[in-house]
Amino acid sequence: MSGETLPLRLPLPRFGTREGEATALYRELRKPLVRYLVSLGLSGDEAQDVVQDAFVGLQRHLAAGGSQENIRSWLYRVAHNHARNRQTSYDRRFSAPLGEVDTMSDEATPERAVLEKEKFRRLGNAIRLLSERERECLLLRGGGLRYREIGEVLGIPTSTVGDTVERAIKKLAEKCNV
Amino acid sequence: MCDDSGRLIAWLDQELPEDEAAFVERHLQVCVGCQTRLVAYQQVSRTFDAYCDAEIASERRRSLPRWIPVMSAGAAAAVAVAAVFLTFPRGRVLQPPINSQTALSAATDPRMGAAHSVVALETPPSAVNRVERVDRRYAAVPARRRSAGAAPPEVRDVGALPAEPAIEITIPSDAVFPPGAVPEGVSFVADVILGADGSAERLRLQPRFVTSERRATRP
Repeated sequence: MSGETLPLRLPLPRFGTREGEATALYRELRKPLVRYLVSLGLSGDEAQDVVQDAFVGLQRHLAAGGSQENIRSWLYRVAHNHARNRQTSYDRRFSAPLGEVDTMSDEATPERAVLEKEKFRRLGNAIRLLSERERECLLLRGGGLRYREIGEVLGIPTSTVGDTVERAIKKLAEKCNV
Repeated sequence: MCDDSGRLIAWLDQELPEDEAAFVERHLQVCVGCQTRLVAYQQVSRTFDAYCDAEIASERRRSLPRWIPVMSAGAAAAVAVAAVFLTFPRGRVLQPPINSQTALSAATDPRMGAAHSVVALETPPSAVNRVERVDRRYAAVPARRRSAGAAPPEVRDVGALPAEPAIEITIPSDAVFPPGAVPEGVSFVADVILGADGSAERLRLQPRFVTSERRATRP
């Protein structure tokens, strides 16, 4: 599953995009998409499957003469909906027992590791207090999507995205006391 | 809180129109509170992303293919079985009484036929050595206890070095006592236990009945 080539080699005559461009798109977006889906609560294998399905869907969409605008948000939206359909417990990711998330810094000093762990613990608590929509907005924002794209993925106005992101960040900052 | 703090996050995300962004930048130069909040929002954003990365890393570790631990357990089991098989022959040699008695009887009892001798000779040399090693370890004590038993102790057995730090020396009784003072066929065994500095820590004399073969050879 770690390959960087497209999962299917469907004919691309009407795509308006060459196969190399489609492969480049796959390379660019596969990891962020998997990251988003895993953050939503899917397992790594499930996320890989959903991303493959999304790219297959993109090829069909383009082959059927679908719009080539906003491909990134189109992929995120399809992956998001796939994930929602598959997911039995949507909040599983952020309802895991505290302390289960390891800190990232293996080379950190013990003191720094303790501080980082404490920071993660507080942040994990704060994330659990966010609404589902706020978490989704932050996750998509962390994936580099613009507010407009986030709105397209979630089907909400851009202004609502801005308000939601702002509210979520302020909540986290308040709870984490950073 | 400052009224303009609401647009800080949008400014951070480069989502504001140019004129609004310029306004926020001018405000940030004069408002310490908004500068502090901006730093806090940046930190929270970074920590949130790091948290997600850490979660994904944890998920990767959790979702290792199930056959990996199974394979590990299988490999460990295979190694354990192999170790048992490799050490098993050594374990079997640790049944010395039967083999040594048989060999000893076959060698000393004239009623035992050639077949028994052959059996004893057919024992692999390594196994014989190991059996001897096991016998030697307990040579001193059983030799004394067996004095009235079926298998008479040999003097050379007594001379074998025990595993314990003791030296056993057989002394003919006529070398210590006047003739007739000790019944014929009795000699003495001196157990000397040496201390760490080489001096004799303990000396003990015990009478021993010498075999008939040996008595027969005496003048």
